[in-house]
Amino acid sequence: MASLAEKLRDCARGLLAEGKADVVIGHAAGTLPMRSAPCFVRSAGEVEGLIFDHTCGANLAKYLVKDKPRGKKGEAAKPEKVALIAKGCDGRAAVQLVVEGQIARENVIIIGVPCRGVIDPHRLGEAVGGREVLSCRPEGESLFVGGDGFKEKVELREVLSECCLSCRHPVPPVHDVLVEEAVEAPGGADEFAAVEKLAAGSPDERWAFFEREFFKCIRCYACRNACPMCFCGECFIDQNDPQWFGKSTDPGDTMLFHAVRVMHTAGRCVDCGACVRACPVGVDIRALAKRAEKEVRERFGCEAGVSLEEAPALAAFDEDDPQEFIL
Amino acid sequence: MNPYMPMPMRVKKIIEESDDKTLRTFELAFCQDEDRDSFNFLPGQFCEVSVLGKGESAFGIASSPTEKDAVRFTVNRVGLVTTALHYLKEGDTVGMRGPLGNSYPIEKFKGENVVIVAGGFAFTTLRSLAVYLLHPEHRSDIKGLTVIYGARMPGLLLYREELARWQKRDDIALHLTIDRPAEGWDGLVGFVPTVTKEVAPSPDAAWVVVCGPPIMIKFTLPVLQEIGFPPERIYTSLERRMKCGVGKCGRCNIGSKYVCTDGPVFSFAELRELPEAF
Amino acid sequence: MAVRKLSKKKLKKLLEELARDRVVYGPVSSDGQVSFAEASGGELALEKAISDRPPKNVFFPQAEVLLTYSGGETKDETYTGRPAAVFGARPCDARAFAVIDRVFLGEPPEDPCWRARRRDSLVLALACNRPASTCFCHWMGGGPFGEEGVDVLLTDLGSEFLLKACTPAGERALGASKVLQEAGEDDLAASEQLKGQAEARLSGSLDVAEAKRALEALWDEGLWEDFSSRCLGCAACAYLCPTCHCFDVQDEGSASRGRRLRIWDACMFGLFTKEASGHNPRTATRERLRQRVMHKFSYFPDKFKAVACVGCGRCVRACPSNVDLREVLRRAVQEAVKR
Repeated sequence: MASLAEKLRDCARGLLAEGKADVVIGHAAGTLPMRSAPCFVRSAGEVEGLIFDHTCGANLAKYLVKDKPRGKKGEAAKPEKVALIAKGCDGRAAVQLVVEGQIARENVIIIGVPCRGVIDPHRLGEAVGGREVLSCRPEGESLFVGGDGFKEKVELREVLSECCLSCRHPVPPVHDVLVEEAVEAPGGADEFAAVEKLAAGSPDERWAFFEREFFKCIRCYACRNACPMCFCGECFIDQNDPQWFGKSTDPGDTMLFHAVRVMHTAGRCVDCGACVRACPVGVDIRALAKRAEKEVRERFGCEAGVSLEEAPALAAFDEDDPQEFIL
Repeated sequence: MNPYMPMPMRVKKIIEESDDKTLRTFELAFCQDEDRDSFNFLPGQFCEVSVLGKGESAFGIASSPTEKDAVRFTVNRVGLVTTALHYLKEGDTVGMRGPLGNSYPIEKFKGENVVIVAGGFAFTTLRSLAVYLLHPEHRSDIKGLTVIYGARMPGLLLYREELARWQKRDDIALHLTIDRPAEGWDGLVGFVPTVTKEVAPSPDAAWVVVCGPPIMIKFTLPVLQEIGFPPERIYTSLERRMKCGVGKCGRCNIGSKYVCTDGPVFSFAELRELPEAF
Repeated sequence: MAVRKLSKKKLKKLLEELARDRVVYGPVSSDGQVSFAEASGGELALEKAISDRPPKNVFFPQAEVLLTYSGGETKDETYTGRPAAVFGARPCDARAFAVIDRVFLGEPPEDPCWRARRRDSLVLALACNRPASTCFCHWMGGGPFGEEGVDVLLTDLGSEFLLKACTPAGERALGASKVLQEAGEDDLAASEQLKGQAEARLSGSLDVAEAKRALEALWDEGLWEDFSSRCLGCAACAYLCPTCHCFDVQDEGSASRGRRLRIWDACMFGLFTKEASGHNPRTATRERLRQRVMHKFSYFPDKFKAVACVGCGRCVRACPSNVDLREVLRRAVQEAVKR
C-alpha cells in the first residue's frame, strides 16, 4: 500500500509529465526538525522531495498570488498552470482566490490531501518548556519529542495549531484530485469557544487581553505576508498619503493594524493558522480573526472557499438582503 | 551637532517653474545666523528638506555656492512631502539638513572643457554647477562650457529666464531641445541623446556630467561612449530613496556604497563596479 | 585581566549593584518568548541557548523619538539617560553590537542616538555552554566563548558564574563589585573545559571569505530564484537579527505639534527602495533577498571590514518559509566550486 507521500509524488509526476501542470507547489523537508519548506517542482526529477505530514504548515495558496505583478503589465502572455498540494484550508483559500478573480479556475489544479493537523512551533516549544526540539517522532496521537538531554511524550493535540483542533475541512471541499480519502479530522473542539469566552469578558478584561497580545507584535508583517488573502499591491498599512495608521510599534497603531486587517479578510479567511505559525513572537492573531469569521458565518451564512459558486460575503449584495443599505 | 536636527529656514520666495504647476523653486533663507555662517556647499550636494508633521525629502541644491542670498531647491510635486512643500507660502518655515553627499569633481575640471547634459527636472544641481562655473571667479578655471538640456515640452524647462540670459552669453554654448515640435518653439527638437550625438562635444580634455531620468541616461551613455568619453570622465548624480541622508539607515545602499555619503555623484567607472546601479 | 566568581544566589545583588548608576537590561521571559528588557530585580531567563529576540533594542529601540516640535520650537529628544548594562547577552549578540558600531559610529557623522545609549555601556555576556543546533557563530569568526564586544564574559559553572574581564570597563566593573569572590585555577580550568565542549558541539564549517566570493560570482544565478520563490518578504529575519540596523524616519502629528521618530525597517519590504517617481530598483522578492544576503556578506565587509552576521541562527528559526541562511551560503559555495 503506497504511503500518502508516494501517492502524492505519483500524482505530481503524472501532472507534470502530461503537461497538465507547469509547476507543482508542495512541501519539502525543512532544514530544522519539525519544519518543512514550500517547494516548487517543475520536473519529474524534483518530485522525490515532496512530503506531507504534520510539519506542512504553510498555506501554499499564498504562492498563487505572491509576487504577482498587478495591473496590465501583470498579465503574462501565457499564465502558468499551477498544481497545489492542498490541505483543506489551502484548497479553500485557492477557491476563494478564484472566486475573487485572482486566478483563473483553469490555471489551478487543487490536489487534495487529507490533513491530520499541523504543528504550531510555538505550542511545541511551550510543551517542552522552551527547550530546543531536535527530534520529533509521531506515533498515533502522540509525539515523541527529544532534545538536548531530554525525551518526552506529548499529546499531538497539545502541539497542533489551535485551528486544527476544530477543523471541519481536512480535505479541500473543491478539488481536482484527491490523493487519499480523509481520515478522522483532528477537529472536534468547539471552534468558537475561545471567541465566546473572550467576548464574555468585561471590557477591561478584553482590553487587557488585546493589550498583552499586541504588545508583543514587532510589525514584521509575517502574518500578512503568509496569508493568501493578503494580496493587495499596496497594503493599507504601507500607505502614507493618506497615512491611515502609524508604522511604529505604538500599541494603538499596532492593534489597529491587526483589527483592520481582520476586517479586510473577514469572510475570506479560511482559518488555516498560517499567520499564527508565521508570527515570530507568538501573537494570537486568531483571537480577532476567528471572531470576524463567527460574525460572517452567523450574519451571512457564508464560509470562505467551500464553493466556487458562492460570492464573497462582504463583496456581494442582493436585493433581498435583510438590511436595506449596503453598509 | 546632531545630524538629524533640521535647521529652521524661512521661505523667501516661491517661483512657479512649469506651466502645469508641478515644478516650483523655493528660495530659502536661514533663520539662524550661525547656521548660515557654517553652511558651505559645493555643486552636486543635496539637503533633506522637512515639513514637520509630513516628513523629509532629499533635494539637490539648485543654487550655486556663489549665490549667497538664498539656498534654492526645485521641487517636483509627486507625493506627500512635495505636496506639503507646494502648499507653503512665502514667510513659512521649513527644516533643512545639509549639505549632504559629495559634489561634482570640480578640481578635476580645471583647465579642461566641461559638458553638461541634462534631461527634465534633473537639471537642478547642474544649474548649481553651471552658475558656479560661469561665475567670474571660476570661469577662467575651465576652458569650454557646453550645456545640452532637454525637456518634454518648453513649459517643462526649468529656469527659463536664466536660460534666455545664457543664450546671449559667449562663454557658454547652450543647446536647448524639446522632445517634439511645439508651437512657438523655434529651437532644437529631438531627444537629448540624439541632440548630444549631433552636437558631438569633443572628448579631448573634456569632462561630461549627465543627469536625467533613467531612460535618458540609458540612451545617452552609449552616445557619449561612442563620441569617445571614457567612463572615468562621465559623471552622474544617482537617485535613490533616502531617509537619513548620512549613511546610517541603509535605504540608499547599493553595493558597498551609500548614495547619500559616497555619492550621489559617481563616475560611470565607479558605477560599472556596482551591482544594480540602475 | 581580572577573573572573579559569583554564587548564583548572589546574582540579584550584582544586578542591584549595577543598577545603582546604570539601567540594567537582561533576558526576560514573557508568554514563552525571551527578549531583553529592564531587569530590575525580576527573574532573568538564562536557560535558553539563545534568547528569541536579540538585545539590539537596548541601544537601538524599535521606535525612538528623534525630535518633538511644538509652538514653532523643535526639541532634540536624543537619549540623555543613564548608561546601560546588558546582562546575559550571548557572545554573538555582543559581537553584533561591535558590528553596528562600525556603521553608526565608524563613519562620520556619528549616529547620536546610538552613541547616546552606547556611551559607557557595559556588556556582560554569558558564554554558551550548550549552543543550539542552529548556532553558526563559528562560521562568522565568533564562538560560544567569544570576547569581541564583551566587557565581562560570564561562564556558567553550575552553582556559580565565573566572570572574566575583557576590557578596561569590565575590569573596573569587577573591581567595583562587593559581591564577587576570588576565582581559582580549577575554576578557570572548568571554564576552559566547558569552552572546548561547547566548540565541539558546533556543527559544520564554512569559509565566509569563500562564501563572499561565491555569492558575488552567482549574482545572476538561479539560487536567488530558488530561495526567494518561497520567501514571503516579511521582516521576521531582519527584526530578529542582532546586526540588522536599517530604519525608517516617520513624522507623526499636525503642522503645529508632533514628533519625528525612527523605526526599524527592512530591505526585505517591497517599498523599501520605492522612489517618489514610482520607480523601484528592487521590485522582485528575488532582488531583495539577494540584497539582504549580499549586504551582510559582501557589501558590508567591503565597506566596513566585517561580516554583518554573527551566526546566531535566529533568522533560521524564525523564517516561516524555512529560508535558511546557512543553506544559502553552503549552496553558494558548492555552486561556485562547480563552475
